[in-house]
Amino acid sequence: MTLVRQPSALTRFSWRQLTRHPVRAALTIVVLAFAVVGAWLFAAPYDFDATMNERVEADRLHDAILFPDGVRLDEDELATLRDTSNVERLDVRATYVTEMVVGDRTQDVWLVGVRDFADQRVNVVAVDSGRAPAAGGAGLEALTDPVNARNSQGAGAVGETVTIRSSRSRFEPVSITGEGGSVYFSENSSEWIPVLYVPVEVVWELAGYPEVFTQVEFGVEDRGDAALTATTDSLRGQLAGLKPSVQYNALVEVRPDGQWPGEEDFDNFLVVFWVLAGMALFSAIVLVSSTMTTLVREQGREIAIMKAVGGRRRRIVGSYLTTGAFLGSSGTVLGTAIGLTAVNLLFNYFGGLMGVTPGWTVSRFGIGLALAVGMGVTLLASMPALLRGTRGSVREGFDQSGADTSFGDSRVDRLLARADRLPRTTQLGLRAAARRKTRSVAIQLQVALAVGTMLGFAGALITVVEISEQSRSAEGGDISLYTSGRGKPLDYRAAGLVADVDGVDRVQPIVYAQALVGDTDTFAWGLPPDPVYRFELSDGRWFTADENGRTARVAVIGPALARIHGIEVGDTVRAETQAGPIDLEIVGIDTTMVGDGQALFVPIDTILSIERRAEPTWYWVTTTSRDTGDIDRVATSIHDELERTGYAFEADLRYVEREADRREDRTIIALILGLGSLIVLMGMVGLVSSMTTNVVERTREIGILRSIGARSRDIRRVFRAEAVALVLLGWSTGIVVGYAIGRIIIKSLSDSFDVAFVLRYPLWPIVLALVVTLLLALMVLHLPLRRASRLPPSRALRYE
Amino acid sequence: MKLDADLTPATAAAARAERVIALRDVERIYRSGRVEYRALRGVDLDVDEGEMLAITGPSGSGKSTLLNIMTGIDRPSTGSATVGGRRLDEMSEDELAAWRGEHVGIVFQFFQLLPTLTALENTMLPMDFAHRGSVADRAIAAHAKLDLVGLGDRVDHFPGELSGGEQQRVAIARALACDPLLLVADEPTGNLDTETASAMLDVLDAVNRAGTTVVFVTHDPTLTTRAGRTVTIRDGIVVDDGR
Repeated sequence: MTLVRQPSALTRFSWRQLTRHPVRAALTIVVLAFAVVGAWLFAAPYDFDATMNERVEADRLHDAILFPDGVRLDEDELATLRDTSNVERLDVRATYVTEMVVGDRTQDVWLVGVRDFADQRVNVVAVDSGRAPAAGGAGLEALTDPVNARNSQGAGAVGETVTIRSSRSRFEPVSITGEGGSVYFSENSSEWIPVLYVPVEVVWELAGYPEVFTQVEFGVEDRGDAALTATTDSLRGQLAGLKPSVQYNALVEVRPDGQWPGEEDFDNFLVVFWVLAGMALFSAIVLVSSTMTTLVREQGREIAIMKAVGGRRRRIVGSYLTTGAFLGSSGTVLGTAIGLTAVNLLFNYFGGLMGVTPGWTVSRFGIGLALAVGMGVTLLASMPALLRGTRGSVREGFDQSGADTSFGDSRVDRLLARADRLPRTTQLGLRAAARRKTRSVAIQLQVALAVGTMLGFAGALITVVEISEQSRSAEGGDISLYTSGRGKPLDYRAAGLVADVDGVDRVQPIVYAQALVGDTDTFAWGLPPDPVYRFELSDGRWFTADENGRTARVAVIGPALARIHGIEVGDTVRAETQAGPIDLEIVGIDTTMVGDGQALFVPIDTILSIERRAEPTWYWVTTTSRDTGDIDRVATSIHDELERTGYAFEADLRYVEREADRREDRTIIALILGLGSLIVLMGMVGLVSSMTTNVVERTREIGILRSIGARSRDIRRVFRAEAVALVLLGWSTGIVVGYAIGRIIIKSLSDSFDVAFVLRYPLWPIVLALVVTLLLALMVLHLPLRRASRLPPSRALRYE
Repeated sequence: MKLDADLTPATAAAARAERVIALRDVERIYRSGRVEYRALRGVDLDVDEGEMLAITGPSGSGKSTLLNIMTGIDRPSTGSATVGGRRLDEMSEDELAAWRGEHVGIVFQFFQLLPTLTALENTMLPMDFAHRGSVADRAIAAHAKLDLVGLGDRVDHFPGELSGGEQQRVAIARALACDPLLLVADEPTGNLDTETASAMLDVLDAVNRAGTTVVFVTHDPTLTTRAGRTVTIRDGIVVDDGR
């Protein structure tokens, strides 16, 4: 005789709990799976951080960058700089922003020069495919960054030839020899314009630079703040020793210790993941707990039978926990499959924004967390119901008839009992909701979570979109003209020539000067007293023509800067500039988020006098037509006019930049909406599960109603009244939850942008949420109710 | 032709009686997977108006199935069921529900009261479904039925606040709510002590004396003596019609 190992009767009992109510089991598994997906989302940032740190190592990312205004350095001088104390690695490069022709239009491009592709020491540009561009061949060559194609910024594919405008206004053909990049430039490019890596000689050739470098990038051995500052000062000293006339274009750029490019933005975005993961977890706890409570309560008789035949409480609890473990493991497997895919897609999306391809990874942390959530949540959430349900005696168990609970004890019950003017079917529905209070609260919470998430995310998105759009429209100007390359810089005469071009409405000078206020690295904008820029002050006033005329040290500041440093109108603020420290009296506080709300708006003549500059080199041109074709034509005319008169300049089309900003907004909105929908869906799956269970569990009651004359429509009314009541309660709670979620998201955004955003919480999404939830709940009810109300009373009455 | 004066009250009643229930060759087969179970095997049964009929038999003999067929809660697999002149086997579920609400009162073994409704509301419920009169009329009628079963002072109590006997009496009041043609009770005393059970039979007696046809199922031989006629069923076949 062969003994076949078989599962025990108790294990079979546990398993059959699932097959007995397959729909309920399936829905619980789906919700658990969502919680596990949440766990994967929670784990994702840690793995992504590790991947990015590896990339930082591989790219030998800089610790700081100096931006000299073009210095010529030979190998010996470079060696001198590299010998500076604490300098671990140092390299120099030249970059140039110009235009390239893509199809029938021109667009900006950032050329990043590499001194020697074979010997790079800082911000190493790696070749992923094709070959590194060579200098001195028959034609000019470049390497394209993978970010370019990803951002739909046409910059040429490998094997193609693009044409790039030189400072002599000639369009030179440049062959794309391969794809690759460095994380620092890729990340900068993703927020800006396409980047092409070229031998530094190509930059010199196209920019007309006399073989100079515009960036000194270096890494240090001791990364302490004091040591880095000392090293930076030493390097500036060395450079001043080698080139006494050296000037700087910008303040030193320091990479925060241990941070990879874009990490701050990524961290800010993480708050969305935390909210989602937390909600998924909460929703799963509520549902599992409610499912197990129902399961145990409706099986009081079976528990009594098990006890009667010798089952000890521990064993009985164990058998139900085994059921929980079956649910948990199924949810974990399903959730891991979805979560792993989602996380890897997100990894690759975010990585792609920075030119990094993390590939497919399975993190141990993720697996551990998924198991802890999938199994742990199920078992822990089941325990209270199990302990409660297995406590009674055998006799009590036998006396128990199904899931019946008493009604009439609580104040709510009494209140509902007094509402006797309502139709009886409505009364029945409402009282049924009150009778199963735990279940009703669970359903209400699930609806509240789903509605709250929907409203919170909607509110946050509406706020962000409105603020972004407000900032974009505030800036004004259709074409941005600025001096670039070697040649005659733009001046008031050039502005006069531009003003005479057909289709130009107004030319406004602007001066940008880097400024450090406290520890906030920002820009001072030199503007005329009647700027194109549309300010909206929350306090004080804009500066006057008189103040501009006498170069008064006054400023209007952005809302973020005011908030960060607690600045008020009438205060005096010290700003560090390239020309040294200046004290500015604050006369107004702006509300727009231009320059992340951290800008200093100063009379243009004041800035010019501080910087000891004669004339502005940057202008905003407003055209008479809003049509993009007309703006393109005006830009071309301006080009022709300024080139004819020998100016070295660049022209940016503002509508292209604004559209790029909007594209970025849309990407973020789509991502947030996608993730938000996930949680709403999860809440709704919970709702489906609870509602279905409710109908199934009350099949016997439906049988009684049918026996005493209730028609299908009467039954439907009873359940609809209950569903509508629960949805209304959940929805109203959801409004509060949504406001809280919106506030959390906006608070996180406010913190990251250092500004006090005010959450917009309009009425229409609230109404929409009600309609959607009601429709969904009624749809969800339709099938089980149809089935239950059509069940012959004889079967309904026998239903257990 | 006999004159009315010649008739005893019993024979007069029989002569006036109309047939309330007529079951013809009723079979009921249950299928569960590959297993087939014949609960009723060709039952013929007539019940006249005003009768008090007990159906008895051992467990699993088909008593409750027979009762369910009479009330339209279940349908015959073959054969016909005519109650109050209506062919139940030809009606839809919704038609049956409405018909039942108007013409049949059912008393279940486990009372089956709705725990969220008071005694009064439980009693009013069939009238609500049948849209009988105004809500106030229904309340008055329900009060009367509860008075009839001796629960006039417990109308505002929820089932959880009543004893088993009281719950069963509410169930009877509910069954009588629409003044049904037929009152059926499935093991109406099955969950009651002897004294309460006897009181329950007194109530059914009174209802019957008031003219309502009463059919009840029991496997307690002592209770069958309270009925005017006892039908015995075994293995789905009527073995004694009691006529």
